[in-house]
Amino acid sequence: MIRKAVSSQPKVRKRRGRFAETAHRLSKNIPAMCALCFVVLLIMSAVFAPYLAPYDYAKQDLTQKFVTPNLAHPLGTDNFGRDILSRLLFGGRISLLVSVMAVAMSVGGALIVGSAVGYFGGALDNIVMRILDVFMAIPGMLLTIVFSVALGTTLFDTALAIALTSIPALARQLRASTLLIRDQEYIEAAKSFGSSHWRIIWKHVIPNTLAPVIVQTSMRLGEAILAISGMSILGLGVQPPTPEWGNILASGQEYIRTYWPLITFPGILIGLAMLSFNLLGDGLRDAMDPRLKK
Amino acid sequence: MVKYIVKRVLLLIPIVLGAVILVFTINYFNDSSPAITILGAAATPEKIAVVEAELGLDRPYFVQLGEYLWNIITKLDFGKSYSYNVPCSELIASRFPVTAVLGLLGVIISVVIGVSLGILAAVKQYSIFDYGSTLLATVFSAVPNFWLAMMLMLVFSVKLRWFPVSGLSTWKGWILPLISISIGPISLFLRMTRSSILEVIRQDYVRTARAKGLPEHKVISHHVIKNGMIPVATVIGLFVGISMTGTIMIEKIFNISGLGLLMYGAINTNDFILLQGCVIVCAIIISGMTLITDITYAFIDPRIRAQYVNSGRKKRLKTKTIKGSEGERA
Repeated sequence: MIRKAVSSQPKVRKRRGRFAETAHRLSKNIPAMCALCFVVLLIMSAVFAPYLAPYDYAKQDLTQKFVTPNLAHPLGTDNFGRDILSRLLFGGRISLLVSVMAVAMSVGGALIVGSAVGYFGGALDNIVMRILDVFMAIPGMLLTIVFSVALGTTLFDTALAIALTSIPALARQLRASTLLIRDQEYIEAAKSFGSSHWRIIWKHVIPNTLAPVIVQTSMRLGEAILAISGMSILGLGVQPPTPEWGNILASGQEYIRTYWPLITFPGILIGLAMLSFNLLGDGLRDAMDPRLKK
Repeated sequence: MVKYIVKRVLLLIPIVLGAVILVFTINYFNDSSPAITILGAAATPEKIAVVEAELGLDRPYFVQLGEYLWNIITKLDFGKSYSYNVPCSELIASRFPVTAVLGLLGVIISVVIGVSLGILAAVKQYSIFDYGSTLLATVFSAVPNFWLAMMLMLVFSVKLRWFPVSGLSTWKGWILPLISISIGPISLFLRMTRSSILEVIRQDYVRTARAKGLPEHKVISHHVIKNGMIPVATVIGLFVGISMTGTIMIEKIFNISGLGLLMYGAINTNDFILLQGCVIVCAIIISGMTLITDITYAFIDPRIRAQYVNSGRKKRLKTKTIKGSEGERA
C-alpha cells in the first residue's frame, strides 16, 4: 500500500542543462517540429543533390521542352528541356547557401556592432545609432536593390547586399539587450577581476544576448530566401544558368500563358521554406524564453 | 502639440539627408560607369572619359555629392536619366500616382479585412473561425507576394480568363494586383489585431463593463475595440509606405507602369541615377509616413496627448512616452 503510494508520486524531474531544457520544450511544439523536419529535409536534399537529382541540372534537351510532369520528369522540364526537379534540388543548394551566408554575415556584424555600441555607450553609441537610423529610413527591399546593383551579382555579393540591409535592425535589437546586461553585477565582477572590455563582451555580454539572436537567425533565414528570390525576379541576384529557386521562378514568368510547372513548384518551395523558418523561429522563441510566449 | 510636431519634423531632416547621402555614396562606388549606358556598344575608353567629363563624374566625391544635394533641396532635381534622357523628377512624377493609388488601396483593403477578421477571431477565441483564420494567416504570411501574383495570374487570367493578364486599363485589371499586395498585410493585421484585442479583453475595465450589465456588443465596440486598436493604428501609417515599395515586383509581374516598373527598367538598363532618384523618393515618402504615424499616434493615445495639453506635467512624462512611441516603430 505504502509502496504504491510512493510509486504513484510524480517522479522527481531530472535536472537538465539549458540546451536540453530548450530542446525538450521545443520537441513539444508540433508545428515547430514539423518545420524543423522540413528544414532538415531541405538541408539534406541540398547536400545530397548530386545523388538525388535524376538528371544533370544543366543538361539541355531541346526535344523535351515544356514536358508536363510525368514519371520520367516528376516536375516537368523547362524552356531548355532541363529537368525541373534536378534544377530545384541544385537550386536549393544555392538558395540555402546564399541565405546562410547572408544571415551569418548579418548576425556576425550585428553582434559586433550591437554589443560593442551597447557596452561602450557614449558618443560611439550616439553616432552609430544615428547612422543605423539612416539605414532604416530606406525600405529594406530598396536598400538591398541599391547594394546589389553596386556590388554585383555573384553569390557572395548577393549575400552581402542582403546582410548589409538587415544588420541595422538586428544591431539595434542587440544593443537594447546589451544595455540591460551592461549594468548587471556579474559584469561588474568581471571588471573587478581585471577582464578586458572585449573579453567581457565576448564571454559575458554575447552569451547572454544569444537567445534572441538564435530566434532572429531562424526568422532571417526565411527572409533571406525570400529576398534572394525577389532579387532574381528583378533581374538581380544569382544569374542564370546557375539554378536558384528565384531565378527558376523568374524564368517561368515568360511562359506563364503556356506552361504552369515552372512557376508553381519553385514558389511552393520558397513559401514552404519561409513558413518553416518562421515556425521554427516562433517555436525557438517560446522554448528559449517561456516568458515571451504569447 | 505644435511643439511636438515641430520637434518631430526637425528630427526628420537629418534622417532624410542621411538617406540621400547613403544612397548616393553606395552608387558612387559602383564600378560600372554610366557613360557605358549612354554610349552603348560604341563605348571606347576615350569616349567614356569625354562623357564622364560632360556629366561631371570626374570631379571629387564631395563636389558631386554637394551638387546633387543642392539640386534636390533647391529644385527637387534628381539629375537626368541616362536611358530616357529626361529629368528623373519628371519620370518619377508621372509614374508615382499609379503606385501611390495602388499602395493606398492595398493598405485600405488590408486594414479593413485584416482588422475585422482579427476582431472576429479574438471575440470568438478558440472557435473554428479563430483557428481557421489564424492558420490561414500563418500560411499566407509566408507566401511570397510575387509568387502569389503569378499564381493568381495563372489561374484567373490565363486559365479562367476572368481578368486581364496585364495593365490597369479596366477596373478588372486592378483586382489581381490588389489581392497580391494585400494578402500578406491582411495576415499581419489579423494576427496583430487578434493578439491586441485578446490582451484588452482580459482587462479589469472590460469585466467592469460587463458587470454593470452592458450588452456584449457594446462592451466590444466601446471598450475593447477602442483600446485594442491603438497599437494597430500605429503601424497602419508605416504600411502605406511599405506597401508602396512592396508593389515593385507586383508592378513588374502585371506590367503596371508605376514607380516599380520604372525602377525595374532602371536596374536592367544600368540607369543608376534614375534608380537612385526613385529610392530617395520612396525613402522620403516612408519617412514622411512614419512622421504622420507618430503624430497621429500622439493624437489617438491620450497618454501622449495629455502631456502636451497639460504643460505642467510635460517635463516629467516627456522622455518616457516619446521613447515608447519610437520603440514601437523599431
